[in-house]
Amino acid sequence: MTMLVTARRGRTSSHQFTITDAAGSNVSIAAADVLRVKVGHDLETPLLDFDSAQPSSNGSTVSRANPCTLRLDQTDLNTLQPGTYSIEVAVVDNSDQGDIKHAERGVLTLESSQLGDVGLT
Amino acid sequence: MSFICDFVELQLMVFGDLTPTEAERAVLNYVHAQAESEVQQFLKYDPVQKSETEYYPRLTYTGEGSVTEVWDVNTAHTRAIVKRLATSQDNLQLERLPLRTVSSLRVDHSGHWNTVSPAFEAGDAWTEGEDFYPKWHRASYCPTGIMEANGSWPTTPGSVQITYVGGYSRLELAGQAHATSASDQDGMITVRGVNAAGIKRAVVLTVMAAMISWAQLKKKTGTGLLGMLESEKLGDYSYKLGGGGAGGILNTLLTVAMPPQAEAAAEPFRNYGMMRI
Repeated sequence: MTMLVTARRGRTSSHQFTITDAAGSNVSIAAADVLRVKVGHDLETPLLDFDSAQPSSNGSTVSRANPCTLRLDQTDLNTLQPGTYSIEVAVVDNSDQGDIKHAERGVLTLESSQLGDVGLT
Repeated sequence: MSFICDFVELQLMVFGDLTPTEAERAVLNYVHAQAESEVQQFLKYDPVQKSETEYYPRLTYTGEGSVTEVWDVNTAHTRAIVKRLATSQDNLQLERLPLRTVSSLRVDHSGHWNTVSPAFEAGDAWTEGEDFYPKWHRASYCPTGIMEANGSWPTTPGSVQITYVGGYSRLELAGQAHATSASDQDGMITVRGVNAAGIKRAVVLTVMAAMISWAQLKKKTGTGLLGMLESEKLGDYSYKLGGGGAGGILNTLLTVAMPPQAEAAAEPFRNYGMMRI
């Protein structure tokens, strides 16, 4: 199934997904490997770009595991306008010259949300 | 170069949540590029916003001697016509629409498209608001791409050098320009309410039409067609194509052309001032 992620603007969301090889087996993510996530548009600088070793400055993270957990922080999502974006997950393979290898590319659909107070009080 | 449509948007429209096969992905990539080209050809410009340096006027000489003529289109948009110009012209039509900002404009009657040196030097600069006036509909939005000269523009081809930002932002192409920004999330100029979604819709419709056609051809039977169905099996469904293969279908039978609905969607954005005969 194509990777489809739906999130709401200004609302933190978590998503879990599994990376498999061509045979359908789970890919092993080694301790020295890095999972990288890019959100944006093709041939342009990503609007979000972070990895399992370095979260985004606003706290979006992706775990170095498989299945892995992608956490999109509300502040990061607030920087984006509602719409459709390309989301790519890639594996930087430390055992293969640090080459970055495509894992999955799909669609991030960012829906609108209401503005205003989002705090605990 | 940026695309009007992201590949993943088209993948979503064509396949939904299904995972395409490698062949289907390859065909979609091919069709995507072709569809973008078809729409750009139809519009007569690249609608994705960018800054470029261009040279004007772009006149096609059809007469002899000192007669200056230019190709244009009649008001019904049904016939190409030739207009004879006076020795000066007050309006200059840019290629890429809409005009967003003019970074630099220089006039050098001996500029020859900047193929000579020196050309278009600092002293040749024209000032907006003094020497020329873009016909702004709103700030940062001149949909006609027409600029009026204080006096007249030169008629010598290649004597005007202009660096300008033209085209629609990604948000405007998505019909999601909800706020005006000089540098939006994509670093582009967006003006609230400007809606160029018809251009993106034209690309999507063109891609959908081609993919549907391909899917139908893939299983078409009959004599004389490459890649025809040899056999089908119902249990754990499978089918076998003939030896011609998908390559034959792609090369000879798959055409990517804008359907009428795509042309209707893109028509309001067409630059009729850039007829190419």
